[in-house]
Amino acid sequence: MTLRSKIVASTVLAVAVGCNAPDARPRPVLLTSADFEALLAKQTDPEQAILPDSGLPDGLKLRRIIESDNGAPTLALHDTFTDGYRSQYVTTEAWAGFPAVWIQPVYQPVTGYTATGSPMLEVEGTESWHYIFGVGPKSAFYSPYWQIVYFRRAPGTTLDDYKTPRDVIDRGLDFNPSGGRVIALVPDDLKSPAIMDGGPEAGKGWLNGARASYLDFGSNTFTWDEYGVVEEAPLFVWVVRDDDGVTHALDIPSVAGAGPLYSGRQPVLQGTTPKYGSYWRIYTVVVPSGAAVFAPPHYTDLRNGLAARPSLYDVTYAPEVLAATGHEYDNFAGRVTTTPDCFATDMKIDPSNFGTDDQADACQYLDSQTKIEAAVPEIAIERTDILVTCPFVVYDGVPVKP
Amino acid sequence: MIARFAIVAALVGFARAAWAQAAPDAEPAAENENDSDGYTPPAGGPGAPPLSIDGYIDVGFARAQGDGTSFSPNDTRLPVDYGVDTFAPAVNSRGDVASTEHGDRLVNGFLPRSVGIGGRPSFLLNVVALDLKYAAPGAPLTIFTRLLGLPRFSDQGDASRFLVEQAFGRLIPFDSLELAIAVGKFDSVFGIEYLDNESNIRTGITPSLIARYTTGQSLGAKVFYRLQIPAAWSAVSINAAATNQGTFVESLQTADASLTGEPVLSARLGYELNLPHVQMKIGASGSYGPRNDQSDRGAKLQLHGLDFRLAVAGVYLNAEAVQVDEDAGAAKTTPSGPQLVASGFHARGFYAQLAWAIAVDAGPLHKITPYARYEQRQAQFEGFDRITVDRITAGVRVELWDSLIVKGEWLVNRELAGAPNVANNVQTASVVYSW
Repeated sequence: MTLRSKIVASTVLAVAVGCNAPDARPRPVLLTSADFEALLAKQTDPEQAILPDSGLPDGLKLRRIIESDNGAPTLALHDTFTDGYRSQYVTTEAWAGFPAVWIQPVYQPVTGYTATGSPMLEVEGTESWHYIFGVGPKSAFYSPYWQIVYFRRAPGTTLDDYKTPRDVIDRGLDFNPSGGRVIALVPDDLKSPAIMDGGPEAGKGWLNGARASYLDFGSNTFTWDEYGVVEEAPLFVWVVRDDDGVTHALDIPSVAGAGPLYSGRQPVLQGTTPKYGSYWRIYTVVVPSGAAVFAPPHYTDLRNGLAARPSLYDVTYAPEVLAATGHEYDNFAGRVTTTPDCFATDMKIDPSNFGTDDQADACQYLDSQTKIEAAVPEIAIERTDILVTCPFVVYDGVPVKP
Repeated sequence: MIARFAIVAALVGFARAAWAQAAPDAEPAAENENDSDGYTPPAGGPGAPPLSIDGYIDVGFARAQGDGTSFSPNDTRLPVDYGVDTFAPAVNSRGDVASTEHGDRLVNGFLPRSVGIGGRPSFLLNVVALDLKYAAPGAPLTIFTRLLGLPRFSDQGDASRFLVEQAFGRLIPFDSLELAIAVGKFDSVFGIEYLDNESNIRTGITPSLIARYTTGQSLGAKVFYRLQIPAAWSAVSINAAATNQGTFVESLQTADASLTGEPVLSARLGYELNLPHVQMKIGASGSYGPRNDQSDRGAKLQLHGLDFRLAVAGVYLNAEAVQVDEDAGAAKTTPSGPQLVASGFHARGFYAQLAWAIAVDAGPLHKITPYARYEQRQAQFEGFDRITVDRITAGVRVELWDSLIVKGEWLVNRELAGAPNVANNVQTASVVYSW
């Protein structure tokens, strides 16, 4: 049985069942895009949960990760809130049972550097450079978090002489470890969602001497320490507890953090645009008592996602909201507020209607890490065992380019 | 005949192998000792006390190229022990390497033991071995214990260990049958290289590149049976075991507890042809069961192997090949501690060793044995590039009196594919005192 088939076969069942021997440590599981695609091909229930016993109630939903677009496996867009803005990401990998994820090297040939230090990428005749990846997705140590290592070709060699890490290390010159880049190695037929003027760049590189397809989500979305451990940021998933104390996940947009829990870190700015991370640990957050979710009646999917606690959307909405049938309120749909009475006044729904000093009059949404950490008791925020690669493809309605 | 036996025993490394002890009334020793159910000291003669104490001391001196590891400084793939052969720069008969220093970079338990000398020449006390054997009077039972002291130093300070390498009782229930049943911790039954484990036995100094898979001791039960076919100058034998772990060396998988609750089955089927001037032995080995560095019974370990030995006119050829397949498993635990995950792994390799024993009668000098070995190993952790390495070993063994062996060896390690080239050749010497 290959690793791939073992993982796919074991993902739903073996992880839930656990290991045979008592006191065994849980089996670490890495699911890559190829595994998601295999699960999509096999599964019949779109609500199928994966990694079910990893601290996230009901596990991850496969339909939130991958879907069939006219028969073509396609990464699914997922909504989240980032410091008050609605954004979208895709999920390319998920880990359970891993204490950390490490960077791996990817090699890129250059001819030299500009005066400002920018690499001049190698082109030889009509042949351009290709990434040379160090570790493939069949390894549990594969990670889409790559450290770019620039190198120069040795005299007398061609680009075709560099297809493996050994080729590079033995023949290459002037190694220059540089920044990080999120590049998911994916099956050839996996599509990224269609995003006008944005989304990842597809390409092919070298993996252990063979061609490998990838989706390049760009640079500067993660950092790592001296041991190569990628720094994780929290991705908050809302949950409720029923009368028996059982926790249920709500199918509403998550909230993406900017740094480690309670670090107070602000997102890195690239120009004026915040650059959010791509590597997350999922935390569950219990919806505070008295809170509500903005889900007017015509957002039926959203209300279905709140089936575990319908009272969360059963509040008074402004007449303008009830009269709406289109997308006027999409930007607020799914936001959790600690001031549900505000939904009765249309102007209060959008905090941008208020000045900085008057924000207290607007709806108080828990739509950022800072606000959640301030409003939710620490005991109501629980770490799960799930780590995910979720690079942003849309931020505040603007496509993200690699 | 005696001289020939001495040469044979020295060359193929079985001079003190135990079948003579296990079946003292069997065929002449020279025809039996090349195939045994594992090493124990020879039986005492008539009137010998039931308890005997033996042992040896292996003092080494080694120098490895580079930093003593196989890690390339420009290879930043993680874990660092997945893309190279960490066992290549071996310096002694236990397969300990000059160094496994990895600078706190991630490793995942595919490491040999280290003597911690890096690239610095150093004297070493490789092994202090104490053998205790008790032959129960009036019973066909032998109880044997081998204790090893392994003085070591690492950059973390003292890293010395005390190891119970073997501890078993062996029952020979029938005088008329070459049948032995052992329960305890004992030698591997796979292939032939385990017969060379101890430095006072091994022709050379270092084990082969595939020894890590086949020469480990394990805990359980085993049975050995041999049927002589005098009319054909032949014998067939089977050596089979059910143990906690298979036959991997102790740095990779523990023998001291089953992590899955299910035993590993191993066996070797052997045939030997014992003509007056030619001795040939062939064997086929297999091992199957859950890998014992994790807890999932469904994660299997399979080994297949072939071995061949030929002794003609004082020249001795030993050859062995093995294929290893390990399923991916659960969280990994090795004797070094908890690791992250048991990765899927596949390997195959072989070695061939040629030795020529020259009997000498010059005072204390008894024998000189030059030898050479070639070996190759391919291995791949899933997701990593397949690596191919080879090694050329040349050395000489000199025997003085009955209690002193001096050996010198040169290892040329080469990375042929997958793994980056790295300077990791080794020069090593060993002085073994047996007592």
